[in-house]
Amino acid sequence: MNILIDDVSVTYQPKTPFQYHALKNISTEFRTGKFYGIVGQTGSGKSTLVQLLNGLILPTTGTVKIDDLELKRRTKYKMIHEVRKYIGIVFQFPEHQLFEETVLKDVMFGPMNMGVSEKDAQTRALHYLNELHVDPALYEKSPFDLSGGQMRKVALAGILAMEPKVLILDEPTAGLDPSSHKETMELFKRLREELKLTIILVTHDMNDVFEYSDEVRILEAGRIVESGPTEDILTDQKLLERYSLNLPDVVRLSHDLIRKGHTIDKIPKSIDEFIVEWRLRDA
Amino acid sequence: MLSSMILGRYIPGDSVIHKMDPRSKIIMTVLFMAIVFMANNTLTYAALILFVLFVLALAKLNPIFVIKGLKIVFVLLIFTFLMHLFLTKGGTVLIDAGWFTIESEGIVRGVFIGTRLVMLVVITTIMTLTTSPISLTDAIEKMAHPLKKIKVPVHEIAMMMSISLRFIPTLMDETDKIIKAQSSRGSTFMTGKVKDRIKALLPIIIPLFVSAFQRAEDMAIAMEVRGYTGGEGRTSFRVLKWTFKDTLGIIFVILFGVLVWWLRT
Ligand SMILES: Nc1ncnc2c1ncn2[C@@H]1O[C@H](COP(=O)(O)OP(=O)(O)OP(=O)(O)O)[C@@H](O)[C@H]1O
Ligand SMILES: [Mg+2]
Repeated sequence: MNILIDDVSVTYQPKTPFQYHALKNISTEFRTGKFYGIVGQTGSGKSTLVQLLNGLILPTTGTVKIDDLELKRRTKYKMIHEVRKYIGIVFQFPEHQLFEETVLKDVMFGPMNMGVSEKDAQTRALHYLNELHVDPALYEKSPFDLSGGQMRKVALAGILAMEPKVLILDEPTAGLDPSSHKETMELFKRLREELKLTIILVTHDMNDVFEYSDEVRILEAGRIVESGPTEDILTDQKLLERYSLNLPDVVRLSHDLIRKGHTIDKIPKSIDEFIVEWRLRDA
Repeated sequence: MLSSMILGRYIPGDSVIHKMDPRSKIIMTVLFMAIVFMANNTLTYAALILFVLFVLALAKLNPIFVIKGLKIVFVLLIFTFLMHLFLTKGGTVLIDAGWFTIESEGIVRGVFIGTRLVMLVVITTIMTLTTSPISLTDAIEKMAHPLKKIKVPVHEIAMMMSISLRFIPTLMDETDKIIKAQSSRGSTFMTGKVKDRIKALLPIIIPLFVSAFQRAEDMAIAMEVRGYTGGEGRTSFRVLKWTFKDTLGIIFVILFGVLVWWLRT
């Protein structure tokens, strides 16, 4: 699914003293099968932008096109519901959305809302719980009896079971320890390859963006100020400094070494990858 | 929808009214309420309206914004007006449709009582719009202090009030987030049959309760480890300061009361 955002503005609480222009005349595109990173200072409008894509927020002006489905200021609920079949959002702390009696039922909630039969919903739920390595012994337990990490996986399975074509991740790794962080990101990478998903990742972690994304959008004060291939934008120190963003660690290290006279043809995607290559070089 | 509601909200600002001591604001509000009930003719009601407009100007609040934010109250207002229109008898008969009559006294009463209602709501709204909830509870605790003598747990009540007030915005945000998360999962609590809509509330209410209890527990632990044992010997971080303008404000309201008393019939 191609997503086209055409001259969209969003104003929160219009005509009150709390009025706030969160997005100002934004136009951009997200193409099928790519991995996008959205970065920007806190309050720059990242969450607002991604919530536009599945109709949680409607544009104040402008249009969001998802293939031939259109979202506008006064779009009817039926259309929004349709859009949500294709676009799934994983919010920060997704475990807060669990509510059913059992893990299995909770994962089936989404697909069943979308008109999938109970039998098929169960098949899907079992498939994705398995995919996320959730222990089958937990399926009939209450989701509130699980550990934080397990809850998060169940919540994620609940979204994947809806089989969206586009998966939006709004700071999905907030509050995770480094190893769970790595595990979650690898999972998204794997899902993307297996299910041919388009992924849009909102994050403050420049290392993740550099390692996983194909393209970047930088937001500042409600505008998209840069957009392009990840390796061009995230290696440009001057440009990132302008928006108070950091270079990814591996880029900084590579730049330092290049300045010291080492040759690095292609900057590796992550520190781990860098270490592997560096050791090979010595051998 | 919810976003334009201003009942009970606070808007930070730097007007004279914002800077007054919350205690004097409470006293003035109560005094004004008493004055509202003294009004009984066109002149006195006009004086009330002028007074409220004056206070709105002092607080740097736009009357249109306040009126818009109080939309819900207007349902009540129209209801009151209609009640008086049809039920109050007296004066000349304007419309006689056999099974009901509308008489001039009904219109007059309807307008007066309606104005009274609006004045009461607007003045209390001005108070809450210009005073942070925390300083309001501080003020209530201070003013209710004498009740301690008769074993009313004043401090505990005030603490409960300020904790609840503190969590209202947090819970609103939380509700908003959960509604969004469940909507993304295709939950349809905005459309469909009443029965379905009520069922669709569960996915919102359950996570909300779970997190509210979690928060309450965290809060209790945080208070306990910091040695909270109730009000005995506690001092306050925000010290309320009564200044000349507070005294002046109260005198002004009293003078206004005298004026209304003199104008009433
Ligand atoms: N309901 C609302 N009413 C008014 N203003 C809002 C509302 N929601 C968000 N905003 C404002 O809109 C701006 C953009 O918010 P948004 O959540 O999109 O930022 P963000 O880039 O996701 O930030 P973060 O990195 O902190 O998540 C912020 O300044 C925020 O204060
Ligand atoms: Mg955000």
